[in-house]
Amino acid sequence: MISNSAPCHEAIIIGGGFYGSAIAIHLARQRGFKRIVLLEREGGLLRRASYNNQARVHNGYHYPRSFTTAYRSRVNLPRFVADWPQAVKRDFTKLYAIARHNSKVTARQFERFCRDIGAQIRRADSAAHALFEPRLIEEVFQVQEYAFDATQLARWAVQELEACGVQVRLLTRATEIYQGADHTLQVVTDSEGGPQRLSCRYLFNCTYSGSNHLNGDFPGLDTDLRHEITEMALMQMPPALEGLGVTVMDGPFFSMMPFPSRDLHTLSHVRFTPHVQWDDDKSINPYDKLARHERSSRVERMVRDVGRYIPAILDSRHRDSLYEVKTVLAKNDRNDGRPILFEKHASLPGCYSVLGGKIDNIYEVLEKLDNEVF
Amino acid sequence: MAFFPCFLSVVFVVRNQADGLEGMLCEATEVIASMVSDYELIIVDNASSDDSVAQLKRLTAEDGVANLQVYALTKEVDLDTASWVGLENALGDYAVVLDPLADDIAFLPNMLEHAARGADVVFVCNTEHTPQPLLYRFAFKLFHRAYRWCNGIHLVKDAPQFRLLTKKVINFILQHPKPTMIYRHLPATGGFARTCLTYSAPPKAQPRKHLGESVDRGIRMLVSSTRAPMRLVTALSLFGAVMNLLYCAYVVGIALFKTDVAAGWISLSLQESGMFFLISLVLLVLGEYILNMASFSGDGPLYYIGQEFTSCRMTRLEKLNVEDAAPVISMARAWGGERAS
Repeated sequence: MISNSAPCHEAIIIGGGFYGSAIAIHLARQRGFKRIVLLEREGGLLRRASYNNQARVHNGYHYPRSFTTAYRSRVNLPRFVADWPQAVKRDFTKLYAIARHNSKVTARQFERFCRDIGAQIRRADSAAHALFEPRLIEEVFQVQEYAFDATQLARWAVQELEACGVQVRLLTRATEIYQGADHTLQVVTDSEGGPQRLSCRYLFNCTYSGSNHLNGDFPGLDTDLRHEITEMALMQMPPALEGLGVTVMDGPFFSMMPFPSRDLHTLSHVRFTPHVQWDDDKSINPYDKLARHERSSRVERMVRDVGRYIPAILDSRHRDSLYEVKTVLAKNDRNDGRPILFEKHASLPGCYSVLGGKIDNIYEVLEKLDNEVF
Repeated sequence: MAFFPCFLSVVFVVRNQADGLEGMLCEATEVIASMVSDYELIIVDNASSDDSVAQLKRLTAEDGVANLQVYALTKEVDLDTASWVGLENALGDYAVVLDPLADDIAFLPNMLEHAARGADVVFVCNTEHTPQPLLYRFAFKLFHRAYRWCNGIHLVKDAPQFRLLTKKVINFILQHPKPTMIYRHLPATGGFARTCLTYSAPPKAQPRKHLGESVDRGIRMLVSSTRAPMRLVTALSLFGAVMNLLYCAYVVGIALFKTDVAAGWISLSLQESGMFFLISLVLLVLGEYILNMASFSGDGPLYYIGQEFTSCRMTRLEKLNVEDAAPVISMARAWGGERAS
């Protein structure tokens, strides 16, 4: 048990998701930090938003309206595949289909955009076209995009953190942050053993949806956040759609991707995946809100709508649904860009908040960290 | 109340009804929620200029009304087109379209009951109408006479806008290149099992209809749904051509058998009738080609398979793979007999 007079840690990272774990490992390996503590409120690493998502390793195709996000995805994908080959699933065909009506891009624009960012794209073969309803789909492209297995990433994180000597505290929640003496920061944690106080030199807030929900001297983020409770349906696909990922662009459409850690497919629909949305508010704790949310699945609606575009999906079976709070920067709610948020809190020197929407954006975070002088 | 284990979509077309929206949707929820296993309320906002859209945004919030799906249009369109916006996106096994100002949602259980008994289309006709000015009524009558003469149905009585369609009817309409034009009449003329119900309730205050717009829409509906007027034109052209030809013969006859003809009459008459003959002929051919092109560009699938079934027994499967000499000969005989007859 660590008391108030315990020795000061070099860094504390709040949040044992993919970003938190990767930052801890990076600090230990690249920046030579010795005493690092990683706090995680769940019983294991990468259990929340890092797991409960579409498991897509982006390659830019998804963001025809946000060139920077798309281009950075292009740059990051090869690195991600090289660094975590064991976690990347590549043995499936990924199709992007452009809807004929109500799409914000046309097939021609999409093709041009992909060539501009240097992403591989070609017209899909007739077998792939046959899956789609031609009156609703303008064109189908075959692209190169992968899925990741979050359980493999978690395994990697556990091994690496142990190898680096990072102290991982599970089932521990950070509640308050204070400015301490001698440029130290104090973190109050809550776990089974009751509240404790840890002190450190540097603090990284990687809690994603909980980023603003720390008390004490923590000033909160300068950037406005927006949350939504999302439902990701896990489906057993019929043989015709096995080994296939499909995204229909660009508007109120849907996406299905293999979900390697459960050997199923995720199905998400722009119209039905978000159940509730709200602007970040100190009085609404996203985790509590998710816990209280009645999880009435909307999968039937999703399948009905998707069935209009891809009739084969009507033979799929719903196995489970993942519910999670998804957090984006309020200004990106409309334009589809997904930049990471890297905030250095001026009133709390040494305290950083990091929030990102995509797993492969980790490289941007690490690059930002490399520019910091510790 | 009867319970129907189905997914029901209800399409409301609204315009500038911000104040009534909440009450209307709550009333609809009350009627529908306990009656079907799942439902959605699709609201098509026909480019309201008041704060309808803001109201709808508020109603879709967490503490608002459940199962709403809102489509707000940027420009006002006619009722059929707006209804189609909702229907095209409806997910339900059945979709009901209603104009909240004119139609009574309380009649919905009745409609569902008929649908459950096998009707593909259930029309509901309100026998009471909002009074309209005399000129409008006259044009209205004229249009419906003409429409009935061309298409064989009276739009108000046989294809009212308050209707329930099954998914298969919607899918059939979707297969047409211009679904909004045929949406009004196809459910009635497409040969689907349909029921027409009537009820009587005073409609809520409805905005006055503009004669000019209505005439425009009426003409478009007539022209798009039938070839009869164009056929009339080509028939007249043919008549004109024939008559001019006869007149030519008449002029030639006069020239041959009459001597006291005014100078120049014959050549002038021949020239005129000849020209008119040619013009009528040209119009006739052009008209027929236009008709042909219209049928190419506007036609969807010519048929719809309502049901299909296959015989349980397949003789092919019962046959043995044995070569037998006798049956082959008898078959040849049968063929020969057929050829002879």
